[in-house]
Amino acid sequence: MNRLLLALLIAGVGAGLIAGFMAVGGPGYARKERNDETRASDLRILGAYYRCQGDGFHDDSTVVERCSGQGRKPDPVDPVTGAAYVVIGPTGTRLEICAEFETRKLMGRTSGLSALFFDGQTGCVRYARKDPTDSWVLQ
Amino acid sequence: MAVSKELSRFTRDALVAGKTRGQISQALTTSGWAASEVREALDAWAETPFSPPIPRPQTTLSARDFFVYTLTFGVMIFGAVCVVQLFHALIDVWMNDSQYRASSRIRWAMAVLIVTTPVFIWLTFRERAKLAADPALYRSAIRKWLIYLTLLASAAVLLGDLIAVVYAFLSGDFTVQFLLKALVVAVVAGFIFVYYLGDIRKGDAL
Repeated sequence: MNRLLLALLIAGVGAGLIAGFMAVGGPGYARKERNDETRASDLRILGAYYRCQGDGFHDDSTVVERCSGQGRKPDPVDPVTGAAYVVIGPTGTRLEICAEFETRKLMGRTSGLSALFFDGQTGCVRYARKDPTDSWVLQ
Repeated sequence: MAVSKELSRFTRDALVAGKTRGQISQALTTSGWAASEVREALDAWAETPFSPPIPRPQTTLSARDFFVYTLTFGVMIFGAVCVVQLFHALIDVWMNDSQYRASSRIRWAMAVLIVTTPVFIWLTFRERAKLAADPALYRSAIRKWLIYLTLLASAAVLLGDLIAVVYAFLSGDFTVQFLLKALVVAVVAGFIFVYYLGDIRKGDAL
């Protein structure tokens, strides 16, 4: 009886591990996911920088406070491939920064501050405003 | 309940003096000892005409048992929790078609299981071989305590799981995802309960 239960234990854990590898992939895939997390973080940092640039660092005290630490431009280059991130804007009412992602993991982030828009493997952070004098709003 | 040294010594001396078990029982009861204490004191000696009286085997307590069984049960409980976490995360991925939040949970559970499962199996097979060679090890007090604690914990988890299912049903939160997760908990806890119940029964039968 107990031998059968031990055999079932090994089978159950083995099945769980195989299903786990199928669901999340191996170490190579995990590295790609980590690279994608870095890219997503870079896009958000660049977004914050360009939004402040777009606002022009004018004398509005709220803008100055919000842009604290944004004086130096972050490196707009993919840390893995060395390719430059694609920056559209800031032009009037649109700002978009995009990178090529390696996995589909972040495609699930469709809402909140870390939301990304995907077209194939290209993921972007998007900001918009109704009028050039308005503040940027994350899409 | 442990028999006091005085009671044990008295019982032994009385048996050596040729008193019958009935006489000893009556003398102890008259002197104020509880029936359970009297029974336990007499059960500690084998019923045989051989003299001096032969003590029955008692439970043992050793540092080695503490190390081996605490490690085995610790690894088993840690592994069982991670089996549940792994399957819950897999159900989330399967039902939501999103691995965004589940990836790290799955990897952590897999890492734990890759380490704990072989250790648990090795410790269990090693202990089974020792028990087969020397059935006296079944009398280990630590082993019995840990098995009964495990039975208690798994029974509590099973009952809690059942209560959660009934509550979810009554609250209108009963989904296929919830049912599958409750089923995973029930299977893991039930497996542990049945496994160690068989183990303790085997030990008691010897």
